[in-house]
Amino acid sequence: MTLPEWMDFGKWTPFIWWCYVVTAVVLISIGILSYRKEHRLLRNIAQQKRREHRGAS
Amino acid sequence: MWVWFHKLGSPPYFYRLSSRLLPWLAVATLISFVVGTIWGLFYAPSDYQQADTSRIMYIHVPAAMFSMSIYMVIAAAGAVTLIWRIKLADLVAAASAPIGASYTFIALITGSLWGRTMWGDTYWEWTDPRLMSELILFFLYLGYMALNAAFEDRRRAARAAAVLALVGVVNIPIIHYSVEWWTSLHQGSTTRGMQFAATIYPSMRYPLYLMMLAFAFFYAQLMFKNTRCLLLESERNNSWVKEMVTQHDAA
Repeated sequence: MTLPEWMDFGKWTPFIWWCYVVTAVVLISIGILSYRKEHRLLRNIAQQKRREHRGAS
Repeated sequence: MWVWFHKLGSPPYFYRLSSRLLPWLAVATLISFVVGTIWGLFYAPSDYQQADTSRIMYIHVPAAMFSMSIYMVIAAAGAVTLIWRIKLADLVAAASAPIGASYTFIALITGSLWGRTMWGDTYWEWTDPRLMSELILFFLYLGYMALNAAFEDRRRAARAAAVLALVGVVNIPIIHYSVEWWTSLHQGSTTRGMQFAATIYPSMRYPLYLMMLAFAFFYAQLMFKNTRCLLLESERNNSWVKEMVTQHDAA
């Protein structure tokens, strides 16, 4: 069975793959870091608020 | 317009606005990246000279373009910080820097890999003006982030980083016109105003437009996210943050 031309990934040089892989890794990494940082900050502030609340009562 | 601009400078307003925009930006980023990548890799025609290697264009060009645009955003925000002392402008600049540095890194790596296949047996040419000016932009981003982190006093850090950002703006026209002012291995500029439509065939231009949109949406999304983090860090003891966290917990 022969693959359609657009699925013939072997015709591309490894350089094309490396470009897309590096881009995906960089963008996904900075995306995950940002989302995790905000999540962590919100959790810390909520914990701090609960501690203050317990201290006051 | 000015009223809205002033309102945007208010941290609680910015936080609420970004909460509404972020889900839409996430969807727009995902769709444009997926469709743009599939279109560019599988459906756009290959170049008659460069063959399939030209498909690197769909990430290299948007990354390089936005590496410069984001630096201009940082410089403009730096000017606002110095002139009007709007705190949010400084935070937007600081939030944009790691994204700009990442885009510059991508532009350098993809450009190097593209150059290896087109220019012969080399990944890098130290005397090339386009390559070197883009590398200087990367160092400017690193310097900006280092300077921002070097001061304990946030306002002093903001002012010092804003001055560096404004001085570094001189590098942007150098990057853009380097291929015209000096002899460069890099090809001439194709992305200038109306010329752009004439120099790239529509079947290659439209996926490129889509990838540019994807990079723009991704920048907007992460800029909002990073600015929110900086806001939370600097305003964590303010009442609006505590109220917002209560709502977040309840949800």
